Amino acid sequence: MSRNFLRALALGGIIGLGLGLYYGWVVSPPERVSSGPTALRQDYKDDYVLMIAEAYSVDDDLAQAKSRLAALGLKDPGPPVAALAERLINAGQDNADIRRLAALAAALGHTTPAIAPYLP
Amino acid sequence: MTRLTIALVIGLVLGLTAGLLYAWVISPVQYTDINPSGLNAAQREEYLMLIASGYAADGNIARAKQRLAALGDPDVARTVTALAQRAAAEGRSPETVSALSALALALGVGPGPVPTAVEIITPTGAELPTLELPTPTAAITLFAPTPTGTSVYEYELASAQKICDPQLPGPMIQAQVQTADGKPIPGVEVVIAWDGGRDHFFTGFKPELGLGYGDFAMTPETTYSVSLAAAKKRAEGLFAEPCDAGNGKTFLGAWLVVFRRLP
Repeated sequence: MSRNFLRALALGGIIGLGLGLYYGWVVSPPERVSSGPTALRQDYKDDYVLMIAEAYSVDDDLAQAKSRLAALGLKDPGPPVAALAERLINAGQDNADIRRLAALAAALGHTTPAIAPYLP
Repeated sequence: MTRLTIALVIGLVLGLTAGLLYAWVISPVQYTDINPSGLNAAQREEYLMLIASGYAADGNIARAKQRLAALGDPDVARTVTALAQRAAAEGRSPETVSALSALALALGVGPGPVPTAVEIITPTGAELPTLELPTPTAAITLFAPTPTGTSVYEYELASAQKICDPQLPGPMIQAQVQTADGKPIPGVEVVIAWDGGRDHFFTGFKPELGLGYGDFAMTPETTYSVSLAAAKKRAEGLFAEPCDAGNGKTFLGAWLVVFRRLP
């Protein structure tokens, strides 16, 4: 096998590799099968938690709320839910939203002095 | 083709294969800080259900629309409607189905077209459509149905009319479920019962005929009743009656049964 043959093979391989990577990463990346809520931007994650609290206020289904929070990667969801409620308190947000988050945090077994006044 | 060209082509193919293998399998693109439009299909549905639950909780349609906009769906009303129908068919909780239906309505799902241009047979002299009797001696009777499920809403039987439309594929029961102001409601379970049998369907599975529409093929010489799980009354005594085709021949007609949600 001549040296020129090997050079041509290597050149083709490098060009092909570059084209394959460009196509696979940029032109046609794989379907986002793994893009769950954990990949959401933080503000969307906060809203996702709020929606879970709203859903919990409607259906009173704690198991489903836990399952949804787990999909966000929250293994111990009580503290982050309470923390979000406190952030809304500090930002002067809607009391109804705060109450729903506080209720969910309490149902998850976590309360704080700041959110206690918003509990029934 | 020279040997060098052959080597170049072989290299290209091998390199391309290796590149695609690496980009698609070994190290695919990792998405971070995405907005909801980047969620995978299953998670987008979950997100929609959460938006509907949020709307059910706070009644804030402006906020619901803002959340829906983040999904980047060009026809989100239809998507929500389809999800409501599927949720109902899959036996999801009444809260979920009701929340999705309510959101679809709030998004302005307009009334669907009337199934077809039909000849409505009404008793002579009647100013308003009234219940058509299957036979001169039989009557549609209204009963309080046996509760078969739970629902957030209650419905009333608004009308049951015989329709003679030769364009229809055969004798059938057409059901329309509407809000108090006439907007179609998808995802509502309609129960059809007859002597020795029972079946059900959900409204909205034929969106081209209206989001609150559903139908059931009738068997001749069988008498049916039509009800909703949450309706106060049901229509009974419906069977395929002959209609005049206008050329001395007859064909079997259909029934249009309308249920209306109580405010």
